[in-house]
Amino acid sequence: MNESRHRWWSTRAFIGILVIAGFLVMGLHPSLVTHYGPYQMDKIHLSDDTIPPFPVSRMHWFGTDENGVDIFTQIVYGIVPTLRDATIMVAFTLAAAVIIAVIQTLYKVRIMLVDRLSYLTSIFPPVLIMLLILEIQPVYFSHDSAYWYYAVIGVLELGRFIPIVDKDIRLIYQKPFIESAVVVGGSQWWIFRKHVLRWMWPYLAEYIPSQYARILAVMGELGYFGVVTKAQFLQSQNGISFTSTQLDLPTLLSLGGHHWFQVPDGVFFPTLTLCLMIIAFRLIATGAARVSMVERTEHWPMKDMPWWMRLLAPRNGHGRGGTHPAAVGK
Amino acid sequence: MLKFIWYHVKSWFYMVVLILAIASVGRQAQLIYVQGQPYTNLTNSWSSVFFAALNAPFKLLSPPYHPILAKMSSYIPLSLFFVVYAFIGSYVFGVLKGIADVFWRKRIGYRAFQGLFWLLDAVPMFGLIVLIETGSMFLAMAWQGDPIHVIPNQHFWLGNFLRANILMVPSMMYLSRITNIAISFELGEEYLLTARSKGIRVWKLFRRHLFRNIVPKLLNEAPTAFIMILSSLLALEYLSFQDKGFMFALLAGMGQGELGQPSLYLDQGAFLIQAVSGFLLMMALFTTVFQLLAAWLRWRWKVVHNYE
Repeated sequence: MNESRHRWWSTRAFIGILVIAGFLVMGLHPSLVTHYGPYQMDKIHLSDDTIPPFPVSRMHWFGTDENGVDIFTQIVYGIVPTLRDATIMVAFTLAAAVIIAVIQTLYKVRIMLVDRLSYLTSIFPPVLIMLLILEIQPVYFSHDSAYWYYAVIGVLELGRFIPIVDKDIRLIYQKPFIESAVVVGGSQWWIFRKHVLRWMWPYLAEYIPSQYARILAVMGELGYFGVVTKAQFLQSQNGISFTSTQLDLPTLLSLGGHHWFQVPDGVFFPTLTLCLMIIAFRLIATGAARVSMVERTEHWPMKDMPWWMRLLAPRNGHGRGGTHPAAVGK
Repeated sequence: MLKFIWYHVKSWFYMVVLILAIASVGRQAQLIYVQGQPYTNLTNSWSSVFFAALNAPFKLLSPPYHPILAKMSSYIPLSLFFVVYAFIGSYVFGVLKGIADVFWRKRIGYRAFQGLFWLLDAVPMFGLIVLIETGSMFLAMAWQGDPIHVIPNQHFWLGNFLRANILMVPSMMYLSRITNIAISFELGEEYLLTARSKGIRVWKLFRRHLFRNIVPKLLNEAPTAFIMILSSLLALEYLSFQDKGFMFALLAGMGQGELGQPSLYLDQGAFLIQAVSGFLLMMALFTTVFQLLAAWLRWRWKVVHNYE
């Protein structure tokens, strides 16, 4: 057997995990990388008598916004809240999708509401529907806008995600050993726990990072439209302005978007950070992905590995051109 | 066939009514404008706004509103160019890349090319656009001469053509993955070996047997590719200031000001219920026609070989 077939290590997944871990360390201990506070304003540089916004320099790695707040510091402080929001929605979509897919497969039913939801997200751009709902005035200004935010994004992402999970879980339930387990008298729960769940790990190893990437992308896109977990406004003699004390990347995009031409750094660097996060999650997902469904179902689960190694999800020879049908054909 | 068309149209009708219901909820009647004027005779209730939304398309069809309809239609060509270019391009380049992914997998040079496209696909659409927009701003500041005209600008080739190509990337990569998998499945089939043993040339084997059998699989993905392009179009037009575009006009109708202005509900335009209804219906019509076309194509290319 080819050596690479049972390789449990994936360089891509490792790099992705390393990047995310780096982000987490910075986010949890901001003082390691910055000595500014997230609201601290650098009002004037006496050396050359200039006022903010300051450009990229040794003092401000990503420059400052128009108030002199260091953008790098804001980004660093924004990492954990962003990942927290994403985690809430990933956990919701994943749990709901798996439960619904298992119920649909187990009892051979189609839940009409779920079907309609999936259909809706397959014919209208989901982000447009999110905007239509989240920009409703009572929702936008609600004290519970964060819950609306989680719920609307979660539900519409669920609609997009369910057909994928449904198809994969149906594939597991079609396996001959499930039928054998039914014949020998296993209960549905026992079969699920002993056979189905065990085969779901590799799928989950791919779903989790790809859902993170997807939800972060949606959060970022909504951020440009001013849709964030908590929009705050300040009314003064000069008029109303969008302000927010919360620090997450979508809010930074939302704030930076208002001064796009005066301070491009305010949009550029948060976007870059968010993109880097998304790329890292995509790397993990790619590392965890199998080349084809057949391969996935043939070679899993690998019992001799601890669970955390399995999460890194091996790539088989196909990805490296080892035993690919095209290569075999030659 | 009629039953099939009716099924699609009926589903679409329900969905559009649902979307209009969502769009009309919570919008105050005072904020709803038609032709620069507030809607008259509207009480501030959801039902009145909802029925105004439902009524809007019929109003648009009446002669006094024909100029508005004409103005709304003027937003279509640019977006249509984006969508059609991205759709055709994603099929052409996606299939070619999928084929290359299978047969050139071992070439080191091609692996670098694959990596580059993987990266382009991994970056979300808003990221690509913002990085190009702000990147070209930084570049223009640093290199004001631009003697060889490489910085993205408002002219066609480095403007809308570039944007259309960016719009193509996600659906192209999706289709290349589908092509890759479909070919990989097909390569294991015995009929190919039989044909080869009878002396058919590789190119003919590919064209006549293999490719013909993966076409239905590719056509199945047309609606997915289409919705991917439409979703990306939202970010593309809004973030790259394409105010001549359909999605931009739809967002403006929803009261979403241009990026670079204060946020929604501060310096917003009015919620133009007629524009929103009209644009959503146009999109619905456009997508229905597309779905029917895709379904007809699927029916035309019958499944010769089933993977199951």
